[in-house]
Amino acid sequence: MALLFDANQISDYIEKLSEFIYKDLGNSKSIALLGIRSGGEFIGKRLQKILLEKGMSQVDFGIIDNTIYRDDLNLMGDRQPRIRTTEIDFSLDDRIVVMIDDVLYSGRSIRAAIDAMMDFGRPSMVKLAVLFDRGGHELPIAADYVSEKVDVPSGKKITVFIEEKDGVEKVEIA
Amino acid sequence: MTQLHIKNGRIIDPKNDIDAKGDVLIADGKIIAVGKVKPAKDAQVIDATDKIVAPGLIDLHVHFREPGGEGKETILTGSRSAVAGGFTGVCLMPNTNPTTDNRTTVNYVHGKAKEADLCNIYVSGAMTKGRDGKELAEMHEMNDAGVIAFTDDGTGVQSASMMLKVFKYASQFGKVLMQHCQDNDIAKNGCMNSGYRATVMGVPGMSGLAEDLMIARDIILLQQTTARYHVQHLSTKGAVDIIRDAKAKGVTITTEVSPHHLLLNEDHCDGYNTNCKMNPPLRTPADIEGLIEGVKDGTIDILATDHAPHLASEKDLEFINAPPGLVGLETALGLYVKALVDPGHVTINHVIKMMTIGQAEILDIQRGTLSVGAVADVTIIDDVTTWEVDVEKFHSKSRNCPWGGWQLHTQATHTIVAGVVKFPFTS
Amino acid sequence: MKNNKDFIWRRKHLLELKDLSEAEINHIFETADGLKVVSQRSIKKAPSLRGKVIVNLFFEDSTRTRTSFALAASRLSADVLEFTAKASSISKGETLRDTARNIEAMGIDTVVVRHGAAGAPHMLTECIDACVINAGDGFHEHPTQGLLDIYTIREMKGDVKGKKIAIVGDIAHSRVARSNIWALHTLGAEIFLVGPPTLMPPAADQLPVTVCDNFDAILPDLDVVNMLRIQFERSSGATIPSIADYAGRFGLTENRMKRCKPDVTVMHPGPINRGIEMESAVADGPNSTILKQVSNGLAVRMAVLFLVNQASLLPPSERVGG
Repeated sequence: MALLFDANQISDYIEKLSEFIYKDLGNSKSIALLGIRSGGEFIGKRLQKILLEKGMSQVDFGIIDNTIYRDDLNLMGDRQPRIRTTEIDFSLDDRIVVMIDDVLYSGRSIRAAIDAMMDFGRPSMVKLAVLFDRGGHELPIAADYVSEKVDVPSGKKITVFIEEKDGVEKVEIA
Repeated sequence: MTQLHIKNGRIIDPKNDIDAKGDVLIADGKIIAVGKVKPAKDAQVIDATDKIVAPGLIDLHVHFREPGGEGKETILTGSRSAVAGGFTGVCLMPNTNPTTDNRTTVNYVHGKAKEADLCNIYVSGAMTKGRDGKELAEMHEMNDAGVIAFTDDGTGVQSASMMLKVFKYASQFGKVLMQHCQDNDIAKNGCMNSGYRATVMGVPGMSGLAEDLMIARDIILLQQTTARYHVQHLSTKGAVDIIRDAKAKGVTITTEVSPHHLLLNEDHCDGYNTNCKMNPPLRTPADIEGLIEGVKDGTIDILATDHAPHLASEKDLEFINAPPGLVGLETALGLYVKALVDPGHVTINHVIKMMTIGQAEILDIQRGTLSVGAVADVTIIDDVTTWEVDVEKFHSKSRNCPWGGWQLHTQATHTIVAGVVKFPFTS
Repeated sequence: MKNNKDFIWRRKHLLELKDLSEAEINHIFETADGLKVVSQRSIKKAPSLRGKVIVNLFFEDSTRTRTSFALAASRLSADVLEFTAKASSISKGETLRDTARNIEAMGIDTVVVRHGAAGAPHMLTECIDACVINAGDGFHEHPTQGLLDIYTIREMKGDVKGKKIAIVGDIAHSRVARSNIWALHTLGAEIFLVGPPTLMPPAADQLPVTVCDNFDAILPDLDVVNMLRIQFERSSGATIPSIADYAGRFGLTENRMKRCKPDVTVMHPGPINRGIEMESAVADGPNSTILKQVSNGLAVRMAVLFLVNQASLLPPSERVGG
């Protein structure tokens, strides 16, 4: 297990991500951030705060659980997906939506989150923001905003620990 | 005819109060000497060293399903099962199809028994026509045809006035009346003991009251007549207590208990195990204790299996729909010893008494002893070698029982009927 | 109690609540929480059980439970087969085993079975490969009803632990009561069985409950009242003399409501006999969760369907209960 980034670096990366989003969408009347459970949940919440502090007039935040839309439910072996709640208390119709996740890898998780989101409404535009893109895309899905490209050897896993859900803040490769 | 010389066994003959090492000599189908004997030079010898030599075992409660249920058992296969279990005599129940409630069916059964030519087959006739408790059956005709007892087994006579009539009419023949004591108004559609296990399993139960009430009723009615009365397959402590009191008052009542009611309780039905569905049902540990007390103090007179074969497909139904009952002839001896002798409740002599002379006295037949001059029905028993119950090896046509895999240590090695060795089988 | 995030659901069958642990029950509730949203948005479908075939094998009449399961299955994109049959016995026709085997031969993943004989779902698990969900067998259990009842209590009252919950009516013949009793006991509730002695099952006092035939005496202490449907048929086997006689003592009237806690939760598995188990005003009143129970039933059944199919992917050595 190797420590890749510490809490300070994570904070910087989140700030960097917020700048990309602000640069692109700062002039929009309102946007909606959807954090994908559970990697994007708390990152998204922080981004909402930062973007509002930067002066955006309306930044809604919701959480989306993509478990029931996954395509690998049959292949999970001894792990089991946990179905958690999806919490979107605003309409998605005709909105600009930015989906937030911690790591982009195969793209399947994003694909499932997009399908989940589509069953809630019809956004006018959907963008994807991730902290880390480790390559190895298995679907033609790319992120619009990436804080950092990270080279992770295949067979190894990159895990982002976030204070609010894990009690610590760091990025590890194992 | 060559003599049969049974050598060096432990002779247990409860009627004659014998428990001693010795020989038994048989000639022309009769016992001609016991103890020290002078056999002919060409006598056939059976070495009974380390074995028990007892009077032939009798079971007065078995179902051989013929006529009408030959898929489950025939008189032939049932007889094979009986002798393999050490039984020289069995009494058949009349819940056949057609019911054994008339001379013709009785004759038919006797005919089949003769063909089988294995153990003695005693036939009981129904008390009421079709066993439906509404009209008296032709008891005189059946008595003439040689029935040994009357019973509606499978069900009990529900109406008190009808039972009184049965007692009165049957008293003409001196044959014992055997009752399956179950008040259907209380029992309703119960399929196991009414208690905690039935509540948890969610199946309707039948309370021990159904048994106790009919026994209590019959004891009162019985005293109005001279009939002889026998309570079949006892299952509750309450029933034991009622019968104990009645005997103390001098009522002519006898009773029996099965291996399963001595060894299993309602919890064995858990998991909807139809092999543990019986009628009367398995009850509680307290009832088992009461039954054992009843055996010890003589309230319970005999041991009887209620051997009840059923097809595997029938037992393979939902618990509430599966027929009750289990086969028992080939495991009886081993199980009685396990239930009563091993824990030290009674001696093996007592068990043998309940399987021999006790049965003969109730049926009023000249059997159950090794007296000189008696018909040579003899069972040789190995009480030492451990054996595991393998239901696939049963000689019965059916396999329904929960005893598979049980370790027992008592079984018959030879079953001799009228001086002829019927088991082990030669063919 | 929040579950460990590594909790794995290991049961391919749901036959009874008696054996479920607190963690297992909570996992079902958590999963139901997550699936509830599917029924609340405009597109009432999620693809999780796409391609799976679920059979409703009902040997007893039931519109509610059957349609609830059918809807739950189709919300998860599964295909539903309806098979209603009169209870069979060997003398009447096909046995339960043969029926189930024949259906399985068509290629199915899950059987939801309701049968008049207790132990029938248990029998099925021994002869088919599919997941088996008990939708009610004899008087034995009705697990999903028990679960949705308690899910509703949890929604209304938070934690079930320590709550005083009365189940009122014909307990002797009620599988709903039994399922509730086992799960409520596991979760630490205090259970009262209320009704006349003729409607109590044998050995009721050996269950983890307090048996009570005086409803009025315990009303002020109760947090939840679950009223069971009472049936009355005139026959010598009748266990109550008349509806009026029963309702006079055990009916949930407006007057009785006045003596309860103001926020007492009133439940009923349905269908209600208005004026018998409870007065109309109570059934339609603010304390009643009867309709909530129905919508919760959908979420709970979706959760159960999802979880048993997940467990069927585990190798047999890692499963519990067959």
